[in-house]
Amino acid sequence: MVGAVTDIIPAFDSVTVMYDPLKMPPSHVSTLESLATWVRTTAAACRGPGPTAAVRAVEVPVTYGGQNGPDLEFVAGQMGVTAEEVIRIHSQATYVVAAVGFLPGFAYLTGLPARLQLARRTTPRTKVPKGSVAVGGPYTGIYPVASPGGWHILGATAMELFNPVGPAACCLRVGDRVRFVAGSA
Amino acid sequence: MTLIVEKSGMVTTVQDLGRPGQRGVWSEVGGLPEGGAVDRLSARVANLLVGNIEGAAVLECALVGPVLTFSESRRVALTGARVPTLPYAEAFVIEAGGQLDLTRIGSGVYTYLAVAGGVDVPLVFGSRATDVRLGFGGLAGRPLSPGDRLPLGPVPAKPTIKHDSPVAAIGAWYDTQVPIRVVGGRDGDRCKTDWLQQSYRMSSRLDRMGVRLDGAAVQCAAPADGPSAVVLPGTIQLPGDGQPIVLLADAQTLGGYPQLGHVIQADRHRIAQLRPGSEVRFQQVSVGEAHRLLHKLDRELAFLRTGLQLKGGTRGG
Repeated sequence: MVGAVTDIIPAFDSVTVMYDPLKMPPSHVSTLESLATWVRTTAAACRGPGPTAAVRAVEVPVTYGGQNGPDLEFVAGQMGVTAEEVIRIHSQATYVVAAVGFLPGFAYLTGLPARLQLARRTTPRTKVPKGSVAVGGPYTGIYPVASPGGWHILGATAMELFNPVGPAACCLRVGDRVRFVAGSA
Repeated sequence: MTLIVEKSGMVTTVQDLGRPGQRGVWSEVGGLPEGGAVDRLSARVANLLVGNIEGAAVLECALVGPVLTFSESRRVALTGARVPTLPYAEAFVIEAGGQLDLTRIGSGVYTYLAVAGGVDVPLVFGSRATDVRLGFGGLAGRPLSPGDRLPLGPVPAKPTIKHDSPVAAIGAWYDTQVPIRVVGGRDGDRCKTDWLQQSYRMSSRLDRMGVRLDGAAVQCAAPADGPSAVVLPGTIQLPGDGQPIVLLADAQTLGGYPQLGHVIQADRHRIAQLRPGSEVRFQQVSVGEAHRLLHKLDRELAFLRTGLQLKGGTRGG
């Protein structure tokens, strides 16, 4: 029944296993149970520290503030610190990709320092530019394409995360470690 | 050989069976929506009728279809929502220089036009489907515009099929008297309202991502912006205003709203074709029953496929 599995999607505290019932024999009840057993067994074997070779460290160059980061001053005001301090806090942390989705290549990064965790904008922007580096609630992330969005934009990166027509872009995978490096893009 | 777009219609897009299996760990990018035809069953049948593979690229026409000119003669077939003035669910030929007017879509939401050879646009992530929201696939990642020229693939090397239209079988697949079957979602039990007992109307707020339902607001104990979880075509979400959203083909891959349930795969083509304003009722079934219904539909499609191939073989030429 493992051959019936069509996708495996880890996201935060869950793993979704998609399967094609047509690739199972019609006596589906027993095969569904054996699929569930396979999922449980595999999940149990994954407990504890995973294989470290699979964890990649990715550095993302960011130009903070100005036109690239229209919300930097607002966030600094909310926190009662300078814009430089916001940049320092955001770029000193190491983040972990907890999920990829919502948009193709959009990585939800966990590990945002508590002081930077702010409520999302009350009115989402109709267009957040591609490459924007933003914070929203407990997460930070990079918009791989232009999209409506309610997160606070701190800066922008030239790193290509999604390019449907060009060569394969860099992509972030669940478990990757990410750091933001302040500088000119 | 090209199709020339004279009028674009409301939202006409190139679609196929989409990009399954590219949301998670096996994808280069991750988080790719499945996309493709909102009513996959109609797209598959239309292709079968003209001798294409079932996953060939077709035109999906929403509510008001396009007007097209053919630069040379091709076999075509229409399925899904009916255009009353044209043959339904049977192949017919448009001659060179001829026009096909799909403006008047009389029932349902999506009409599918298959042309022998399929629409030949480049594959993006393994599919020709247009993702309008993200702007890729199909023709430059957007709906058709007047003046567009759509390249067509070579006509499949099959005999011309003269067959009886499978229209009766298709009618049964879209029976509006049967409720839309769902399996339970993670938050369905946390709702104070028994949402399954209510009837809803399809609202006019619909697109390829999803449709909002109008009805008495559903009260749910689950937070309106909880941790994001995987959502799929068919997932029924409940935003803060209590009006459920049924996600369709272009659904994003993660969502934070409570999840009431999921429309079963065997009924997705049915909800996709319900017009704004029409009533919709739901019925919960077990996962086993959902599997049984999908196997049943697959057998019926196989029967239709075999029938077409037999007739193609015996009466071809």
